[in-house]
Amino acid sequence: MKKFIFKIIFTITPILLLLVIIEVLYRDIPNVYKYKKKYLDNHSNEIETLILGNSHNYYGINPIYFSKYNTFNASYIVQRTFFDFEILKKYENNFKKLKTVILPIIPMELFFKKIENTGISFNPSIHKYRIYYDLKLPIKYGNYFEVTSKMFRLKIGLSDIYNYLVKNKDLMTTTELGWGYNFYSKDAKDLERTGEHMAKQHTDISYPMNELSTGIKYNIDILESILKWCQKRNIQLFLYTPPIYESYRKKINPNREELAFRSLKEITSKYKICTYTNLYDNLDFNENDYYDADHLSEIGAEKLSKIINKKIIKLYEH
Amino acid sequence: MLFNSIDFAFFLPIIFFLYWIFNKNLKLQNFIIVISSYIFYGWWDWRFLLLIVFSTLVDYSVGQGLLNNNNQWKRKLLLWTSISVNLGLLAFFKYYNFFLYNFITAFSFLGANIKPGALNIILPVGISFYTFQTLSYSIDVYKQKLKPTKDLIAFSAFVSFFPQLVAGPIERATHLLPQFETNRKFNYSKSIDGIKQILWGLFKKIVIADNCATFVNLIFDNSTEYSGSTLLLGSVLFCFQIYGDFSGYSDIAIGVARLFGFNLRQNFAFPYFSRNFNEFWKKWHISLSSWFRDYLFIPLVKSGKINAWTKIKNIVILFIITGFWHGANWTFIFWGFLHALLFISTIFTKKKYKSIIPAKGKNLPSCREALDILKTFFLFAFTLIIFRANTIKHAYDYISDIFSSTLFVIDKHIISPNLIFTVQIILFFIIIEWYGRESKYAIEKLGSKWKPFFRYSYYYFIVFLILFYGGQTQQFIYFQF
Repeated sequence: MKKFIFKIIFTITPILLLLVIIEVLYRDIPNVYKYKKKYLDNHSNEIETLILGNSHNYYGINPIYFSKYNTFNASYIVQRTFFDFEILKKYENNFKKLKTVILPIIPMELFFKKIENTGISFNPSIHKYRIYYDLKLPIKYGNYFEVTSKMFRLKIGLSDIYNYLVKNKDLMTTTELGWGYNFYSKDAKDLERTGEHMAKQHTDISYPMNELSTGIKYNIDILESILKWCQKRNIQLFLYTPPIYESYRKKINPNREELAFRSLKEITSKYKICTYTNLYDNLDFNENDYYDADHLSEIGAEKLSKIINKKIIKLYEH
Repeated sequence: MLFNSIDFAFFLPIIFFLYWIFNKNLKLQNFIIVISSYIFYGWWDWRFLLLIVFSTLVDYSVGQGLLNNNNQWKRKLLLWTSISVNLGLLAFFKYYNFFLYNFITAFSFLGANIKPGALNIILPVGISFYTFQTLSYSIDVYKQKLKPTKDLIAFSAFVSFFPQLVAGPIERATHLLPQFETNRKFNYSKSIDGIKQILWGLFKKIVIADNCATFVNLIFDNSTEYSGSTLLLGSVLFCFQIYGDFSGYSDIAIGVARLFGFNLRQNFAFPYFSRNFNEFWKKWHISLSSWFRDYLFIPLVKSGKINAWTKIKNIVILFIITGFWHGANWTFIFWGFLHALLFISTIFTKKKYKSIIPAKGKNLPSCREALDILKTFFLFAFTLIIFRANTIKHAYDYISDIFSSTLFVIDKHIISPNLIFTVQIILFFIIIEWYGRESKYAIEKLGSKWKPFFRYSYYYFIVFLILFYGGQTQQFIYFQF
């Protein structure tokens, strides 16, 4: 028995040591989560307009085009409304000047699932919010570390460590004000293909047809929590549906879309602090503005940012 | 709890130490197994425990009833109680909605409009596996092949033994139950062997199956978008996914059981090197096929006249039930039926091989053997399209698209470094499996006589592949059955 235990420990120790070293080195690499947390830690008391939400805002709204109010983009890929609310709560005492919160609403995303037996929206990078944002989420202990999280791929992790430490490469994809700059128009993808693919993927990862009311209730409830939070502090919530290419729109179940827009209308009409703008099929955006069917490139981002900037300024003119 | 999870990585060593600390107390060891198995199973959903406890109590009571009864009529009644309860639970949880849906469809076809509501039933993980295991106990006790145990703890441990609880191997009471009733001593070489088999199982699951799964899901879910050649690739990859997944699970289960001093039955014996479907079914999911053979096929044969026609009829029944065991869908039934046809075809062929192991004692197979292996493999791959498809229509479209004019068109956008890696790792896997085909699992003897440096390098290489080249974590496929 002793021989067996000794042999196992002897064999496993180098592997565990290797994993610990990788964990430490990997955490040391600058990433968007760390950067945004640090920015919010230091500047949240100066922010007047806060952009939250997922990749649609991360790639779609560049605060540099916001002319009047001090703006920061705290959105990120797959950052569902649940996480936006957690971020708002975390910094609620620091947001002294906050006037507006901008959130994107995609009809299909109102049916996205939560993690079973929890109130947390499904997010494959959930561990990052615990590790880097320090959000106290009731998650499995495998998510306390990078190397044990489900998303982690050692091959990619090592390649990142090598690129950062040895080649001194900058692995950040965000500007100083939090906009994701790496969706270049020159690398744009096939809009027809990505539209079909994303529509299918969004349908697959959302609640099935017979559970739509459960799914939308879960997501609308979170949205309502944010609305209440904003109302209590007299902060404007600027909701908008970003432009999406038609190859995506025509593949989405119209019943789901109709239910989403109806529910959205119901909830937004209840709160005076809420404004909703629908750019879903806005004709100002053409195929040159897209990186893929549901994300804008830097050209589209400039266009969208300017539109929203005007609307925000207008909001306070009245 | 998944074998390839962090939870299990903590769970296993804790149970292992606790178990061997009390190595002189058999009852306590069995009790530790019962509690740990319930924790393992309840990790999914604690409500499932009620079912397994109920099933255990019913079969234990049936066993005691059979022990105390010589009246043949009463004995039959007890046996049928066990069969009805176990198959009743299985039918309710697994097949209720399927029967309901088909019942409604059949009646609406005749003009009747029936609208009973479907139930939102959660399928308890592994119900098909432990139901069959407990049934084997009642049947064997009834047939007096086994003396019923009076030890409820040992019996509970036999029903719920966590390594093989949710995806087999389906153990026979005659093989596993006596192991719970005899003292177990820690055995160093057996434990090392268990660790090796766990390592190989993890490799099959994490590196082979999970990497294949990414492409299989993509191709099967978007089958209308791909050319025939990609669809063919998808079906071949699915063969390796399902084999890596299921046999990987079996390897881990057998390896973990060995750490606790138990011997489980071999569940896979290199089935992709089979030269016909008769051989294939002696090597694929052995614990299930032999269960059906012993408890269904042989009784069917004994109950009727022995001629070619009844044999064929019984084979068809056997395979359709095997297909249906996998799930409540017509695709599984049709898959079973196709296998019956393929199996029957081997009865009429004269080709016979001396040994079940291909090219035994040789490095390479003969041309004839190689062709037979390839033919069996590709036929199996085609049947698996039906197994994997959502509906019969989906399978039909998928197969039609393979044999369309696009069969020789290559979808360039699917070729990626990950796909190339997956194909390379499959080739590596086939070579290792081929050279290990005379063992119980591929790496059982490989490297065992090498110098420690080379041996450890080779173990670390497998660990390296698991850590660095694992695919996106997927649920074990057979959990749904």
